[in-house]
Amino acid sequence: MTVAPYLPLLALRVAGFSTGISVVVGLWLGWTLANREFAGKCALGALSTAALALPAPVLCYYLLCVLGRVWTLTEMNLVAAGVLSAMPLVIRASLTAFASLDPNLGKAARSLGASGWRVFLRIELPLVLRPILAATALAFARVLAELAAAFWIASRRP
Amino acid sequence: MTHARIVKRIPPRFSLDVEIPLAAGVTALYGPAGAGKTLILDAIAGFVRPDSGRILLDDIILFDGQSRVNAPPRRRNCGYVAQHDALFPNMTLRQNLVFPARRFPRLDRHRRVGEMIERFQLADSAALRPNEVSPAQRLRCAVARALIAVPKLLLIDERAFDIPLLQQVRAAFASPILLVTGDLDLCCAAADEVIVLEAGRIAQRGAPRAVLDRPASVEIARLLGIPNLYQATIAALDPARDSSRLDFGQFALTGPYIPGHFRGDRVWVAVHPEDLRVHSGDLESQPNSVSAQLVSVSHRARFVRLEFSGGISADVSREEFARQKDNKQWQVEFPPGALRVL
Repeated sequence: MTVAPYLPLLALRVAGFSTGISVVVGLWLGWTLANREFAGKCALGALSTAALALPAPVLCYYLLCVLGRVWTLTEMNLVAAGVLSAMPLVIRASLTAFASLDPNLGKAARSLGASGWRVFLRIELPLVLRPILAATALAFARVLAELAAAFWIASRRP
Repeated sequence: MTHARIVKRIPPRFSLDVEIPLAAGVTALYGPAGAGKTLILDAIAGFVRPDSGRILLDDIILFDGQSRVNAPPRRRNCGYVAQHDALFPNMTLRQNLVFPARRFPRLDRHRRVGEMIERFQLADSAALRPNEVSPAQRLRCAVARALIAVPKLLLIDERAFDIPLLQQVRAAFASPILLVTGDLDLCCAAADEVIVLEAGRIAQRGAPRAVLDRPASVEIARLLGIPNLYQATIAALDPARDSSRLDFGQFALTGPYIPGHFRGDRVWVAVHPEDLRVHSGDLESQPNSVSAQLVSVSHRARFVRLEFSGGISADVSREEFARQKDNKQWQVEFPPGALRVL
């Protein structure tokens, strides 16, 4: 498998897709971890933190080893690697932000006839928007920075 | 009919088991922290699923443990004023009021919001966000927001409620109101019934004045904050004169006749501090009085509390205290009618 040399446009596209996917899935996971009780909640929380501690080159290398055999689309591999490195940031930020919300706000809104989606979109999301945007920017920057390592490692694989 | 039968266990130790019929008017839930007051409100509002029981609101089943009916909170039509008002901080007060009114047609919505703003004196602050207005305005807005959705039951878990606001809500709202409070003055002034909760069980219920005057047990008397609680032995009973003689160990007092008891029985006696009278010890001994040493004086908002030796507390007016503050010795008079046998 060969990977193209570092291309700014490709890197931006990959970082954009990775961050977008990370934000959507990370927000959902962060909200779920903050508001729901389920089996494996602690494990999921620990895993999301542990992924932050994994060095980016190692993460990219293993991902390319695994996905390189399954998928032939190189850009998809890179997006998957980007999601893996960006998502923990979004999960941790959204978990902290959602957990710090006053639970009485949700109670009040639901007692006033609001659906779960309306509570999320009108009350919860506007209140956590700033930390989420900050985490999104960080995630985007992280993916962009780490893509360089991914290109470098991939170009030296036989 | 509005009725709640709620059974809920919270491991490892707490269990709630209550049955509360709710009539129009204000029902106050009174009890110590951890007695289950908020849990009752949460179960009725649908935020907590009871283990068993049944909750009926206007004959509509909101929850039934046997048939596994459990309506979601948004379909229960219960107004809920949460602790610390819970106004949405990202909206102005007007937007907070519009939020539940969305289901009404546009003109009707504006009329309702305008009415509530007028009724709860929010015109000056309607365009401000909750963090820019006073706590009293926030609370009024939270109540207005709960009422604008026309609920069939209003649940209030806000301890900062004052008497005028509760009376205003009562006048504006014909359906039952269930209020969590730790304020006995509020119960007496505006509640029709008070339910005393202790460790997840109803310890006593009744009209507020009746509960205060006749606590069912010494534990409830302590919960109600009655400081004068003494154990006594019945020394004599005279039904013809409607009197009894009670021996408190260090002193003996005459009280009302105590039906259902015999001479020699040990009983608890509660005396409200405001029912006691204090006199100078230099005067002639008053009937049913005890000589006592003044231990401490505590100035309260509307009265002065005098703490005497022997665990006797008496509340006197500020004027009365000003007249008697130079007493060297004190007598505390226990009017016979003030002695309440529990």
